[in-house]
Amino acid sequence: MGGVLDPITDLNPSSSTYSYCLNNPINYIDRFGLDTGRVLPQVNIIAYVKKVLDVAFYTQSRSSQMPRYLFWKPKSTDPASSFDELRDNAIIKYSSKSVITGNLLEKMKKDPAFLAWRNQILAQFRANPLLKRFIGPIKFGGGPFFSTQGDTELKLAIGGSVIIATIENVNSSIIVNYQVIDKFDLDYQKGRSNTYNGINAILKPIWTGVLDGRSDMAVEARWNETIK
Amino acid sequence: MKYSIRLFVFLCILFIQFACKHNYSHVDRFYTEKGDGDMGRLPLIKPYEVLSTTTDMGWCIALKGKYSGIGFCNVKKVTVLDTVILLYTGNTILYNRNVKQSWHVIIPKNDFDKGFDNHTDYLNFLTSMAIKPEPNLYNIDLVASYFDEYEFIDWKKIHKLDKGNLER
Repeated sequence: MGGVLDPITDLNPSSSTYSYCLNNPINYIDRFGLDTGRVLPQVNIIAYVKKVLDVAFYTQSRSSQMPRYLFWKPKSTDPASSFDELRDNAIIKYSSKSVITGNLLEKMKKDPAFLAWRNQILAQFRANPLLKRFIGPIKFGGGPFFSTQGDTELKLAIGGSVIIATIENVNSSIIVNYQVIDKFDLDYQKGRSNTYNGINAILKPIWTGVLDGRSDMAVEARWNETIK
Repeated sequence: MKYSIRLFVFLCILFIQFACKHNYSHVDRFYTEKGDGDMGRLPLIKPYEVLSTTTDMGWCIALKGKYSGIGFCNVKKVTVLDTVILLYTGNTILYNRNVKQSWHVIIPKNDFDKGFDNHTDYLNFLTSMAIKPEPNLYNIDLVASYFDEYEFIDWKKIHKLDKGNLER
């Protein structure tokens, strides 16, 4: 479509009118010289595999540790403020549990699914103050898992998890304590998509066998808020 | 000759592949979609679904409508009778309390949920709804295996299959 200006260029003002497919012809396609679309709509499987393995190989190569059975580490709980740190905890530190902190925790607090659930439990509490403990499944990160929508780091770090909240009245304030629990695993599980289970069937032997990584690390986040 | 044999075998495999494939294209995707990412999923009655986590809390359900925000985890057994969902949980939180086990009756079309930590109360409630004798609840992992295999949960078939094959 050389020499012809894209007639719907206003829809994507952040990209140059002279670039083809946002300068990313591997992931995108523009059949009609109009709007750019994904080659594999919604699917970002390669990015998922890459994200899991990329730095894992890097951290493994820089760790230069002796075989773990010579220096067996006791169960440890380590902080993680990013997905990379979670992965380091699972591979280098062989942590039994990681506690989410810092930037990753801040992302969780702003996650749309969390905020929606928070509003729901506060509404339940206000309607019936005897209800003070809540539990439920929650999906952090938004958007389909194998997609570029939402927050990939959150999806990988603590995507599908359980959230527990306890609410108490202190003076004229409401204090809500949140706890989110998950497991950093690459296991086969019933009810998961065939794609996810299939990829993990390949990833897990690499993760545990080649990289000597832990595949059952508990992941937890705790925080509270005071509502006046 | 070898080429035509290979082609024949290939076509046979293709035929078997398509003949054995379940076709649920006419069914609402809510009832056929698997979980997203690391969250397993079992559809019950729209919009109710059970979601699995890899924590000790196992399978969880989030209530809808006027009960939004309330959920239960550690779901062990489940069944669907036309418009009613029946659940059994192990140790969980039931309306503010820690309980060792609980039974739930959910009627999505009436936006109704009631939970019990006492089996007798649960049975009495079922009787008041003219559900008698007590329906079998199926081990959720077996239902998940069924869903994995058939990509659709046909509760009528599961009820027929239940002649000691599925745990009560």
